[in-house]
Amino acid sequence: MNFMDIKQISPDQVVFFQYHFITLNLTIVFTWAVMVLLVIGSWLVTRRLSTEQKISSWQNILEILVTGIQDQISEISRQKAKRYMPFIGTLFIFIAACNLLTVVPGYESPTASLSTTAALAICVFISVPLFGIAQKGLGRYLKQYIQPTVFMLPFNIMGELSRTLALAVRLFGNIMSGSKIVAILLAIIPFVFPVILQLLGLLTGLIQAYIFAVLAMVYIASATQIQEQSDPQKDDNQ
Amino acid sequence: MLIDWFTVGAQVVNFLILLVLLKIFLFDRIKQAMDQRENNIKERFDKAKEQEAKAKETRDTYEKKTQSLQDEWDARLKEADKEAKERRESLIKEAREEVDGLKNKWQNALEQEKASFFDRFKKQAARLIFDTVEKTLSHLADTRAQDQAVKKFLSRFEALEKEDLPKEVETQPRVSTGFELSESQQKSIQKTVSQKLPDLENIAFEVRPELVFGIAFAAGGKKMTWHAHDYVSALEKQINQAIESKDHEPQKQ
Repeated sequence: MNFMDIKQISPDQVVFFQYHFITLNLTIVFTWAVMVLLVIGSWLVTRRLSTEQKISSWQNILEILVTGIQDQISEISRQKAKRYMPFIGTLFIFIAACNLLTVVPGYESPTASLSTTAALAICVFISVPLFGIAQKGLGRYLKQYIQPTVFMLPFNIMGELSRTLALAVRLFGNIMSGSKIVAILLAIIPFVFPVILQLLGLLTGLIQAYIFAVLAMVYIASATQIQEQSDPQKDDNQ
Repeated sequence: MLIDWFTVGAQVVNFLILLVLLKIFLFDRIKQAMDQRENNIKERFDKAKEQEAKAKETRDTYEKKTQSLQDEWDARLKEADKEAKERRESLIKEAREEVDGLKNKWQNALEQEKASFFDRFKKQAARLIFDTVEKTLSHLADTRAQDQAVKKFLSRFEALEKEDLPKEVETQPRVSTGFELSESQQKSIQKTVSQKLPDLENIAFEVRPELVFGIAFAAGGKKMTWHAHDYVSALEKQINQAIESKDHEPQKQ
């Protein structure tokens, strides 16, 4: 069962319901599906968490995942991971889940929609100044845009925007192209080869999730680490 | 157009909802469980450390006790060794004393036996010599040894100087012989003695077998003896020397 035509690039184009500007498209539906899956899965696994030394396999997997994300955050930011963990972790898990579920027949990854990747990139774009301001205050955060000179302000703003755009387009391009290539190959050579590409697509999807999350963390870290360089004494006191 | 801005907005909201839900149902719970487990492990580790410290303390205590027991054991062993040595020395000393005592006793007994033997030997030898001389003189010279002995006694008595004789004779003088004197011999002796000592009363004669071949005269606290004891004693001395020299020779294996 395929919701999308081969000519349709984005799942946004598959609309189930529309009322004025309010549309219920395939992207939103599958996003909800992924959300439900993740939330229910998390609830099921975490409802009986063991605090003893012997734990279940699922708990073990989740702990490995959470610890891995935590370690990555700590390595990149050189700060305590607790503050950034929910945001970066949700980004990674959501994108990874969206991409890995492409093995399910009829499923179209929400990340193959530029609207989704743009939404995620916007979230990162907004979160960077939020974490930066929370970390060092509004004045100090804004000051970094005129570093090293005030003439760098437009370039810094352009840099912020372009990297956000790059985030959105990179993820969208990779996932969309992957699914389209598989769909085209499935029509031309229906045996073996599409499966291999599908597996490759899973790997690519996982890597893209990792890249997205790591880049988001790098951006946040760059916004929060300036404070360390400018005022290390204050950071030590925290 | 690839971007639907309503979808963008909806996805932002969806993402934020998912963020909140995952924070509640996943990250916080997992973190809490991990922290709890870490605390449990830390508690166990602290408990284990505490128990280790206790065990170390107990081990030290027992090591001290063991050392104390070892020291005590060594001291007792030393004491026992000392006691055993003292006891051994004491027993050896006692044994030596006992052996020495027995040896002395045995030597005394031997000496007594020897003395008794030589005494008997002296008597028997004297008797034997006397008998031999008696028989020899009787057969070859047709005379008796005791007669010759009396004769010799009388001649010697006669030859005595005045100062050799007893000055005052208060008790009865006594002549002792190893053999029985005949009446004539007694009279001869009486006569000879009376000539030298006129104040003397009758002489008492007695037979003392131990004199064997001799004659003894006792009067006024003085005693004059003529007998073969010196010869027999010389013979005894020579025999004794011969026995002793044989005793001291190393025994041949």
